Amino acid sequence: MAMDGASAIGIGRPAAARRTRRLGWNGGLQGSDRNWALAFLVPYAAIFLAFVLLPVAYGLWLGHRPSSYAALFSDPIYLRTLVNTALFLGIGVNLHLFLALLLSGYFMSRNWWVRSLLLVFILPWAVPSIPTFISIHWMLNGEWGFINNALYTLFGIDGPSWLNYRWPALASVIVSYIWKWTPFWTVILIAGRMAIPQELYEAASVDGATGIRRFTYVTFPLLANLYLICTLLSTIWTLGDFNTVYFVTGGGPSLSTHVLATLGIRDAFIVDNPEVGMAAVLSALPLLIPLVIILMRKLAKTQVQL
Amino acid sequence: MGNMSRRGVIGGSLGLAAGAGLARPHIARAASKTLTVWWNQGFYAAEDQAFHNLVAAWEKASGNTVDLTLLPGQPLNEKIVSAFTSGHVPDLMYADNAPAQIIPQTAWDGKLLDVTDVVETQKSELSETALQSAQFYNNVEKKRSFYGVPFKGATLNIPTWKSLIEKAGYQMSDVPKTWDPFFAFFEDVQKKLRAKGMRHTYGLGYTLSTTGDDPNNLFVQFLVGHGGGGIVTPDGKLHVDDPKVREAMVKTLTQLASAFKGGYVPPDALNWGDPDNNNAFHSQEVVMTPNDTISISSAVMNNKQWYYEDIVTSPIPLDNDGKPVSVLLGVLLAFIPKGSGNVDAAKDFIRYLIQPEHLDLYLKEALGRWLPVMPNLVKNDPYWLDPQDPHRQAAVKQGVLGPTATWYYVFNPAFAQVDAEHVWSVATSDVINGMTPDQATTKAFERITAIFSKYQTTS
Repeated sequence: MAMDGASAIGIGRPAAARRTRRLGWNGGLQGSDRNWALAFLVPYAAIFLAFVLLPVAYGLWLGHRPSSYAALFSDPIYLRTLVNTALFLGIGVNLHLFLALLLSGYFMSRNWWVRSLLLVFILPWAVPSIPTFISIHWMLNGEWGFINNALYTLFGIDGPSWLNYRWPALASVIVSYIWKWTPFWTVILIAGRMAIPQELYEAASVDGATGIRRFTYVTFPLLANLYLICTLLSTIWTLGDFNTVYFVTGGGPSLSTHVLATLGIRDAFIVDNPEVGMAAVLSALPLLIPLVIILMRKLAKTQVQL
Repeated sequence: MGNMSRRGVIGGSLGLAAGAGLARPHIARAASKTLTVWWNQGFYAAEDQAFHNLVAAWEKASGNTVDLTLLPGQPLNEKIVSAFTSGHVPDLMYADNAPAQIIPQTAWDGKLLDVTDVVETQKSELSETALQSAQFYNNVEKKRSFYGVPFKGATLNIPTWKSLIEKAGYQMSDVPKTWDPFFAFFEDVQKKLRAKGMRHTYGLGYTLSTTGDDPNNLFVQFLVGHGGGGIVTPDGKLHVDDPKVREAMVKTLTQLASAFKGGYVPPDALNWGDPDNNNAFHSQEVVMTPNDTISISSAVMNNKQWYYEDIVTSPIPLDNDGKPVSVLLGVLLAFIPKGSGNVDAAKDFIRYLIQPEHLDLYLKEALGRWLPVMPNLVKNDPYWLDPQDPHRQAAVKQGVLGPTATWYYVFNPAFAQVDAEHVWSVATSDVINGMTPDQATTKAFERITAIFSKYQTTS
């Protein structure tokens, strides 16, 4: 039976008819084609199973006992840890993305020296995070750290013990986090700004929109979806961020700056109770799952949305 | 042969090669075994070299080989906890803070091998405290037994800058002998040094942080020094309702928090990790710092001026009534997990390690940082009580020949969790942040009672 190209790929037939023609588990492949397909598929599936599904399933299994959650909730530092996590996410994520939004406009400038400055600006993101956070920890040392020594040398004043009190220590964590991650999101938002057609700005200009109006009525509406996706992604990543707190404050002073990620490690490996540690991490799921669902829905849009 | 096809020749060759490859290791395994050992990396290179030497000697004597993994303390602990959780364990393990952090819980859960037969080989040589410190409660089998083999120990010592004491206008002989005056003396030294322009020098190097073992070692030894030694009895029972224990807790909190609030402790001591008081001492940020082992002085052994002239190691002071205080002896243990594939070889290795002549050599090659847990070793080998050494002999007299006490985590794993949660340092911080010592004691004891309620021992 002769078959033209259009009918082979199903064009011209009703969608319902196309849906009823299922290809089966082998995708309609036969013989050596099927074997080759399997040969390519099996390693990926095995790796996915071994390094993605299995660890996740094992983690869920480790944290499945209600008694682990009872132990977690009875820990006096858990509630404080939740508050810290909320502050870390709420302030850290929003502030650094807002800064990134502003800076992305600045770095759109065509001046060569602004472009050169961008190279320096992205360095905090480009360098490895652990040594830099350890350096920040040392710089914040109240006795011999760089910051307090500079304050004393330049102004003759003794700086505070940054890491000895909860709020300055938590603020140090958030500032370090912003310093580390703002460049990355700035670059993402620069890319977003570059994708906005220049004609729109020209049209807005003809209508008299300049300066802040240009930003309010053209740039921000077109960047809004990207900005929201960036916020969701950043929140998800930050929820699992261990390095910033661990290396800047170590959860101190007096366990007062832990976030869920560091509390989980502390419970698993310091208190020697991996099940409670996993429960600490899994207790973020009520926030994490809706975020992932919203993100997936945003990414599932078929139309290109800036 | 002439009838063999090319495919047959290739197939036969591959079969022979595969067969030989599989057969050879089997023959090798019949002759010797490979022991997988996870061991704590030393504080300095000599410690690791000493262990490598011991391993080489055992390999030569036994014909076996050791697959050795040396890791620093915390990463090793994480590896060990992961191994127990997953069930994929090595043959033999040792970690510096495993007796306080890992062994009590894993023994309780029935995950360790009973090594009574190994300990028996040197039972007469081991000190009473060492023997007691290796017996943990197994809640699965409802019995207390040897779940680790003791081979070295450590107590709290007080390294002090003699040169700074003298700079402040005092002599070492001026240092008081009893508890409160002893520590108050260093506050006075600080005042004198500050008057001489040493703006960043503090009298007292107390570790008050919520990481590592040092803050627990410091606090609990102070608790004992103030008469709270009965907080947990060998039957594993908690006694926070004992008025003497409560009074000792209040006194300890008052003493440590007052020193901090008075400005006699470096502010960053609230965030010190275990090596940080060593670093603060070496940089003369503190005049003294209570520290487990003599690692502070051993690390500068090559600097003769510092080691023999400028630094002295003192034992903990007498109590306020002038009576000796039992020093808590942290006994370090090698342990074998259930599931070890080479139990016989692992036991053979430990038996070799704890033979007095081997242990003596190993500890000496590690520069004597750790204490022998066999009193006869220090009596028979002049190295340990060398009067020319201002550090080792002081530590040995206190920790091997003096009155020692067993750590409470041996009696009940709940105490290990209390230490791991740093309940003591949190209470100290509570007082620093404005709570009264009495309130902080009530809060801490409530948490400790809650933790102990999960661990009921029957012996």
